Order: sequence, then structure tokens, then C-alpha cells
Amino acid sequence: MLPTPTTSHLSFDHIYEPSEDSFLLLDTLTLQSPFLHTRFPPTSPPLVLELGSGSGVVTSFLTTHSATLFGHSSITTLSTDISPHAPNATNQTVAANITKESGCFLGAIRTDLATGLRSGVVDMLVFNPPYVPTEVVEDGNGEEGWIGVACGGGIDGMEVTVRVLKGLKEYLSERGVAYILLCERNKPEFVAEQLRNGEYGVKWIVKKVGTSGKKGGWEVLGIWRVMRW
Amino acid sequence: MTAKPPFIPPPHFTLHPTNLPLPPTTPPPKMKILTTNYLTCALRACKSHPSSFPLHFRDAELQQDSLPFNAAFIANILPRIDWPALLTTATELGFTGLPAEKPDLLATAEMEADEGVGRELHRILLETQVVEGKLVCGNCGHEYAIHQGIANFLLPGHLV
Repeated sequence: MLPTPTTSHLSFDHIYEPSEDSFLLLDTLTLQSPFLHTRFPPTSPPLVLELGSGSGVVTSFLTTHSATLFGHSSITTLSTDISPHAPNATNQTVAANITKESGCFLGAIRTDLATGLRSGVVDMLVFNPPYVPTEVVEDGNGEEGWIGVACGGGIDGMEVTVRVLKGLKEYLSERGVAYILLCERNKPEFVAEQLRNGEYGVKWIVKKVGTSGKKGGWEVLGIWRVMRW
Repeated sequence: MTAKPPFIPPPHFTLHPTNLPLPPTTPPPKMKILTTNYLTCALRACKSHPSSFPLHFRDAELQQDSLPFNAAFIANILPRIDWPALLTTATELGFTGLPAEKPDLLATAEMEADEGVGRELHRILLETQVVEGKLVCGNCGHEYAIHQGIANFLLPGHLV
């Protein structure tokens, strides 16, 4: 396994600390590397976008380990987050982990999901959503502040994720691929079927490419890969 | 009553060096110019309007670094670049060394030469970062602030 980027320079008062879900995403992306090599060769390098980058551990991982994951260092990476704390945290984490062999990090942007991005430019999208079922999707003013925004996904924990799934056909390039984390309470099999049968505007090809496994039947996490072809 | 035995931390309690707070080795990165190749106005009504792309820099404060020349990156990224948009952005920021038309894929040897498009692209795409300033929509005039290298595309409530 590739080394996990260090985040020890951050305090986690307002930023979601890398946890089991983050690490599952990193492990899954590592296992996807043969697929990424084929899909995104150096002659046609990908623009990688992480939504809700938080600490920046995933964006840093992809940027730093570009040569291993993609087979070259010509990838460009971009991250967004709605939290006022996250873009700076992501920048710091990239700075703390970047090497001469890294891909090109274009910057961290403060925005709501992919708002402000041009249509069809994203080749690889990575999203560890706020997936915990909550009464409402918070706005940063709740008891848990911006951590609450990072975790709480409203009804079925899917309110934010549904907005991303609806936006995929707009965000992604023709060859675009999205990696999205879902937990068992998000009803992932049902969501996958909706994606496949065109309820999100395109008949997406969907595959579960990573799983945390059963833990007493509780909080099983999965990584789902979504693409046009 | 006997006193509690002294607490001996088990091995996994040892503070591993990587868990110690370390200062970042390099200063935090800031927005690269190429980012504007992928950005447009956050207002949905502007998105389909040609004048909303590229956004225009205003009062931009740039940081110029010195990085080893990476010919492979320049050659690989070139086909992806929206050249007219990059040309507009570069000119606005005072980089006048780019040709009007996107150059053909340059041979690595040619790019290694001291002068030329390859070096200019390297300077613009990799060595330049935007620290402060604004990005302005050519259609609606909305300004997106860049502060400490971070662009903010959140719209005020009445525009969402």
C-alpha cells in the first residue's frame, strides 16, 4: 500500500479528521491503478477533482502518488469545499506531502460542490460525501459547526450525494469516471440501480470497486465507480 | 489501600514521529493560472454565455517561483489546454510570450532549449501562482475574490 499523506500539521476542530472512510477511498484508488493507467495515459492526462476535500488527504494522495496510480505525473488536480477551513487545510496538506514526482496541484477552491466549474472538464471525480443520515443538511451554524457539514447528509444521508449524482452528466467529460463513497444506510444497491436505469439523466455504468466489509452488519462502506463507458 | 501502579504506556502509546506536529516543508500552494481554463461564472444564467469564459483577472498579485523545467508535463498538458482562453488570461497577467495559435507538440529537445514556448508555458503554468485578486465574469460582472491563493465561488444568498 502507498503511504498515507501526513495530516499531523492540522488541528481537527473544524476539519474532518481522516478516518476509516478516507482510508477505504485511498486503498480503493490504489487498487484501481491498472484501470487508471489505461484510461488516463500520459498523452491525455486527466483533470482530477475532489469534492469536499476537507483535510486534503485524498487530493494529496492522488497528487503525490500520481506516478504510481496513473503511471505518469502529468495529472492536474483540483479540490473544492464549502467550508471556510478546508481549502487552506487542503493546501497545507498538499504542501506537506508534495514531492518532485508529484502531479500538478492547481488549487483548492471554496465553493458548493462543483459550482463555478465549466461543464464536461472533469475526467476523474472523487467524493467522500456527508453520508450520515441526519434530520437536516447543516450550513455550518449548527452545534457541530463545519464538522456537521462534513458528516450530515440529511434524509438517508443522501441529500448532498443526490445533488452530485444529478450533476455527474454535467461535470464529467466523455471518458470521465466518478468514485463515490456510500454507506449501507444510503441504500447503495438501490442508488446504483437508479444510476444504471437512467434516473440520473444518463444510463451510467456502475460498479462497486471497494468495500470495508461487514462489521456486525453495521456501517458497511463501499466505493462505487460511475462512468459512461 | 495500595497505591495505583505507575502507568506504563503499552508500545502503541509511543508517540510515533509522524504523529508529531511538523511544520509543512513548503509553503501552502496557491491557485495556478491553468485553473482558469476550467472555471466559469457560478451563476447558472451566465454559464451558457460565451463571455463568461474565461473569467478575467483584476488586481492580481502573482507569486513567481523557480521550478525545474518539466518538458514532459508541458508536452502532455498542451493538447488539453483551451488555447484562446489561456492566451487571454496570460495576456491579462502580463505574459506576452505566447503565440496566437497553439503550437504543435514540441519535441522534448526543442523544449529544453533556453528560450521558446516550452519555457514560457512552464513559467506560466507551473512557476506562477495567484496570491490575491479577483476573477470577474465578462457577462454579469460578478467578482470572485482570491485571497491567500484560494478563490471563493460561493454566491451571496440573493444570487443562489
